[in-house]
Amino acid sequence: MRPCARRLLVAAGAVVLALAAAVPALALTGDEIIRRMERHERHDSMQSTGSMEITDRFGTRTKSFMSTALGDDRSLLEFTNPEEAGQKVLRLEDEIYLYFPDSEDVIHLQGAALRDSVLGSDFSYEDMTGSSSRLNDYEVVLEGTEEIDGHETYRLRLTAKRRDVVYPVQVAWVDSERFVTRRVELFSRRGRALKRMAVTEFREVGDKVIGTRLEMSDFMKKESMTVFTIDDIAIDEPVDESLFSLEELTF
Amino acid sequence: MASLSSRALTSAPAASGAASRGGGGNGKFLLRLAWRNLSRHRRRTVITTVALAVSVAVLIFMDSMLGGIDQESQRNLVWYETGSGRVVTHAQLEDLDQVALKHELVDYLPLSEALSARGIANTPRVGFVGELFFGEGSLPIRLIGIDPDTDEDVYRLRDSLLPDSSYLEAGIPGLILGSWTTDDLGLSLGDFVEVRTRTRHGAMQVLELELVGILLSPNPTINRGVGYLPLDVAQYDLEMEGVTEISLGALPSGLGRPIAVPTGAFLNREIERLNAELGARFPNAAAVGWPQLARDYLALMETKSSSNAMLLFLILLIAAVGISNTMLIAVYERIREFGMMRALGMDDAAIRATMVFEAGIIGLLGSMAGLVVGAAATFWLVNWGIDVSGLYGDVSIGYRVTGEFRGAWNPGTLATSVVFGVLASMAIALLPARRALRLDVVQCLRHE
Repeated sequence: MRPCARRLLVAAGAVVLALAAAVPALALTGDEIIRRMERHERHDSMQSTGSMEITDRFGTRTKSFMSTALGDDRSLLEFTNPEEAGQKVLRLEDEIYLYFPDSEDVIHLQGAALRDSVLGSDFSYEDMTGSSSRLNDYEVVLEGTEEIDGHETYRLRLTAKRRDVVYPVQVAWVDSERFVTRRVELFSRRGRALKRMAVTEFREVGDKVIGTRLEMSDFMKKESMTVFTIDDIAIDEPVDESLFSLEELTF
Repeated sequence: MASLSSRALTSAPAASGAASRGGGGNGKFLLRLAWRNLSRHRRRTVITTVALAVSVAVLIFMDSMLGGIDQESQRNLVWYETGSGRVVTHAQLEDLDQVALKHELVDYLPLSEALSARGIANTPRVGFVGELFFGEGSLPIRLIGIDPDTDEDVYRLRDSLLPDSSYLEAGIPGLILGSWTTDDLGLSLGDFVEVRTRTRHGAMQVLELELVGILLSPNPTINRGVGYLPLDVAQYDLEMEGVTEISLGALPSGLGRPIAVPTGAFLNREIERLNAELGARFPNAAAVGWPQLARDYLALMETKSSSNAMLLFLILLIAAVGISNTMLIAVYERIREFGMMRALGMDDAAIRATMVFEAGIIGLLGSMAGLVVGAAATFWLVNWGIDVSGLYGDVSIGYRVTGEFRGAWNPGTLATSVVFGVLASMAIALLPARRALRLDVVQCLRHE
C-alpha cells in the first residue's frame, strides 16, 4: 500500500471512530432532552426560602423571600426583608396580583404592567407566568454538545412555534449527565441576545436535582445582574390550597 | 378751619340751590361739583386713579398672558400631538389611554383615501412603547411610526428639526428624537440606538435605529420621551399589517379655509358626521376629536383655569381694597365739609350722589388709564412675548408651551375691566358715605 493511501485510510478510520463516539450523545432528540430536563424543573408543589441579590448601576441590594408553588399555575411569593416585608406576589395561572401591606391594597397587573421588573431585578412579572412545558411553545433542535463550566452539555435551540411567545428564540445548555439546565440565553425576534440565565449551584432533593443559585443578566443593561439563591427547599409535599386566593392574600 | 369754611362756602350755597331744583339740572350740577371736588383734592385723586389704573392694567396683562398660554397650548397640542382628531378601532376607543398594537386598523389605506376624498388631510401612524438603550443609559420611550410622505399634512415635526438633521425616509431605519431626550442620553446625530419593545403579538423585539434628526418643538411633551421612525420600518419590526390610528388634519369648514384647530360644536358635529359616513364602509373604525384624546391635558387645564380665575379675582380684590381704602380716607377727611354743606341746606341724597360721582369719575379715569397701559403691555406680549426658557429650561409644567409665553387679545376682558373699575369704585363709595351721613350736622362740624 502506498504511504498516501495508508494516511487516507487512517484519517477515514479516525473520522469513523469520532462519529461513533458522538452517536450516544446525539442519539437523544431535543424533545427528549427537554422532557428529561423538565422532570427536574416541574413539581406538584414547592416550598422554598431564599434571597435575590440585585446589582445595577445604582449598587447592590438584597431581598429575601418565602415562596410556595402548587403545580404549574399557582404560586405565592412573599418578601421578608425589612424594606418590603409583607409584600406579596400571587400568581393564578397567567394573572398576577400584588399586595402592599402599608396601603393594604391589592393591584391586579395587566397588559404592559406585567413587563415591569420585580423590585428592579432582571426578572419581570411576566417571567413568573406561563410555566407550561417548553415543548408546547417551541420547536427544539439539538445543535451539538459543548462544555460549560467544566460540564458536558447539550446545546439546544428552541424556536417559538407561535408569534405570541415572549422570547422567540432560546438557546439552552443542558447538562448531558444530570439533565439540568446550566445556561439559557434568550433572544428577540431579530435575534438580538436579551438575557442570560446561568445556574451555578444545584442540590439533590429526593430524585430531583434542583438549581439553587441562578444568575440572570440583561445583555442590554450594563452592570446588571440578579442572583437568585434558594436556601431551603421542599418539593412535592402537601400545600394548603387556600393560600392561593385573593382573600388569603390580604389576610 | 378758615380754609375749610371758605372752600365749602364756594360750593355749598350753590349746591343747596341746585339740589332744590331737581331733575337733569341737578344731576349735571352734582357731576360738576364732584369734578370740582376731585380737582381740589388733586393729589388724592391722582393716587387713587393710579392705584386703580395699575390694578386694571395688571388684570388685562395677566388675563392676556393666561389666555395666550391656553390658546397656544391648544394649538401645539393639535399640531404636534393629537391632530384635530383620529380614526381608531372601536376596541381602541374603549381605552384611549392605553395604545395597543392589537387594536390594528388593517384596512387603513382605503380608509385614508375615503378621508382624503372628503377633503380631510390625514396620515397613518403606529404608536407603541419601548425602552431606548444607548451606551450605559436607557429610558422608557413612546415611539411613533410615521409616514414621511403624509405626516406633514397633519403634524409639524419637520419644521421643528434642528440644523443638520434629516427627515425620515421610508424603508430606512432612522429615528428622530426630541432634543431633551438626546441631551439626557448624550446622543448625537449619526449615533445608533437600540429600542427594546414587543411585536404586535407580544414577542420580544429589538430595533436598531440611527439617529437622523433632533427636534425642538414648541410642545414640550414631544421634546422628551417621544421618538419617530418610518411607518414601514415600524410595521415590519412589529409584525403589523395595519396601523394603530389615522390622524386627522384641518377639518373642512365649508367656508373656504379648513379649520386647523377645530373646537366646540363644530368639531363635535364634524366628528359625528364622519362617524356616520365611515360607519357604513368601515364598521371597525371610529373617529374621535382631539379633546377626547387629550383628556388628561384638559383636566389639567380645568384645574389651572380655576386657579387662574382665583388669581384674577385676587387682583380684582386688591384693586377693590385699594379703592375702598382711598375712598374711605377721602370721605372721613371731608366729614366737616359735609356738615357745612348739610348746614347750608344740601340734602343727604345730593351729598351721597356727589360722592358716588366722584368715585365714578376716579373709576373711569383709572380704568381708562389702566386700559391704555394694559393694552400696550398686551400688544407687546402678543407680538414679542416673554422668554421663559431661562426660568423653566427643559422642564414641562403641563402647558404645551415652551420657551416663550405670548399673549392673546381678549376684548371681553378689556371692556369688563373698565366697567368693573367704574362700578366697583361707585359701589365702594356708598359705604363710607352712608356712615358719614349717619352723623348729625353738629357731630359732622365737630369731627376732628
